[in-house]
Amino acid sequence: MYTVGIDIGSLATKIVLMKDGKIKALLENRSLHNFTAIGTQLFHQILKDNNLTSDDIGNIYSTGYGRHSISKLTSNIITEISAHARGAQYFYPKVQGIIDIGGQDSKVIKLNPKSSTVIDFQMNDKCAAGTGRFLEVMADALDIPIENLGNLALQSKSPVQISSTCTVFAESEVIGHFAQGTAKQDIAAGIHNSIAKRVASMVKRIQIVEPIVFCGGVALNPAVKIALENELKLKLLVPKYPQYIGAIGAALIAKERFKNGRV
Amino acid sequence: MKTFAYFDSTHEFPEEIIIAAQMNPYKILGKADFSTELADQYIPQFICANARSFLNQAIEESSNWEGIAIAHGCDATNRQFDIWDQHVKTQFLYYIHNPLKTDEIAQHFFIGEIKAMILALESHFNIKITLDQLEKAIQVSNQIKILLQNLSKLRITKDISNSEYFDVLKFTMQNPKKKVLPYLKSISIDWLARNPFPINKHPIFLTGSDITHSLWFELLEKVNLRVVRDDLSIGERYFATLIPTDKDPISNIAKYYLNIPRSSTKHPTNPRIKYILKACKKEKIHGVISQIIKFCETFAYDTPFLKSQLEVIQVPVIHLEREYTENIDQQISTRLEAFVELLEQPQ
Ligand code: SF4
Repeated sequence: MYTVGIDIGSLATKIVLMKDGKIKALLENRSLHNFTAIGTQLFHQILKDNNLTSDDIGNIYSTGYGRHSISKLTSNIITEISAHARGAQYFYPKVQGIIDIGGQDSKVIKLNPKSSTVIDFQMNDKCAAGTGRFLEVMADALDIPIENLGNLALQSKSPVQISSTCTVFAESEVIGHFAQGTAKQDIAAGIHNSIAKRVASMVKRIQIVEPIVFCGGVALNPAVKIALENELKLKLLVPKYPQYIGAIGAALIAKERFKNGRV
Repeated sequence: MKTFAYFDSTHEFPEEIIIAAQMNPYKILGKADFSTELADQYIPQFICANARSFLNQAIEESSNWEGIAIAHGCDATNRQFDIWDQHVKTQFLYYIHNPLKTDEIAQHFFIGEIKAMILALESHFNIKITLDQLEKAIQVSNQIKILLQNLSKLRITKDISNSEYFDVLKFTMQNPKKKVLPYLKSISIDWLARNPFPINKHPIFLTGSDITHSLWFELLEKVNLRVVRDDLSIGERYFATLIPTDKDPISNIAKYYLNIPRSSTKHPTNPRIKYILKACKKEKIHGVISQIIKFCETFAYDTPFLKSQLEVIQVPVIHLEREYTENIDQQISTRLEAFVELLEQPQ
């Protein structure tokens, strides 16, 4: 049976097509604040690419910030928390903790080691600090493409300290360092340490333990992973397709909840 | 009937004095439109919006009230009396000290405070507040509390929405008690005839800062969380216990206010936590929602202890920090939905 999971994030929408619990196809696009249109477009595209029609799909679940916006298309919704928990278990069945850093939010999820159910979670407050948006703003301030920010940070031998947790103040701080002639790689490394500190405080609040999966679009940036590992003094597992974990989880839950019809 | 308004950040103000003075005790809860702009000129925004909204309402509406009393509630707000004194136009503004402790010395102190307030009212309004009137006021108060206790119990067995419960409490705290009694009786008839508790709803305990608008209760309802117990001031704290009648009325009133379910504004924390744990065990509560309004540190400080104690009895808890807004908060909504999913997981 085919199932589809659609993760409509504030910045990017990700869609996964699964057959009998195995990944068949993945697609993503910018959400562009038009959740309904992007979600629908990606759904039709993934069907077309795989020579399927809507009738071939057993169950469709949406998740993410815009999960309610494609209710005409989906059978049900699930929150990012449950979706990420399930998606992370797909790659690492023994996972006990999850750190997800997305475009505009970050979350930490604690799982029960015996039952693998969610026992606690933390989400960032209405604040860009500790999210992908923070890195985007900082890359802009440094005038480099966001894709290069992580590798640049890895070249640093002496990271600067970014003391402001607020994105707006941190940007002024970065510009200040820039004006003083600090090397870009040292500023970039400071930026990564700053996001790691912010996320680590959420981790410490609910005290997750290894094995911990690090996912979300920001997990593609190796410097954030290293900064987080240094800050938390533990190892993180980055799954294949880290940005698709929510969509994969939604598609898996769609499969598990299918009972002779879409539910 | 004349209205006398009061501001207490929990259930602190001895409203029986006002009933005995033949006025309507009106609990200030802010305006329906969530406005705080006028008060924001005088109170910085890192103080909770509840307190700012109360001042805002007072600045706008004090001419409708005969006087205003402020009771010592939380430490964040108690010195705001000076701001009210400067900026709220009223003929009579009074501050009554509620002790933090509950021992004999505290009761003795509070008796003195109640007597002083009675004298101040008598002198300003040129009235006499007799012991007999105070006794009658206690009777009325207790009748209301008994009716509310019975209504509250129906939340566990009947289909009573969160906001219906809140609306009843708000009405009770803002309207003349003569109007309140028949109103509560008619609500009892209505609620008794309701359908049983809906199977798709999760019975929860609600705690934390006081909630002054029904919007937040509606948000909980939307995600199928049904508040069947609470320890809020606009909630169980108001009616959980009755005013004793064994001594003179002033001592009885003093004893009552020092022995109601405790809030985080008073020391120590244990009695508050005990009340929550007891209710969770008694009613088979599925989960606890602990919420604070930004930046109510008074309740925030208690949260880790509350969380650890609930873990011991294995009752899931979620802690949320909410804004004072008329808009639905999408992030809070996601967290609540995730909490419901957590409650519904196969164990
Ligand atoms: S909400 Fe908190 S800070 Fe505000 S008045 Fe109440 S107890 Fe005090």
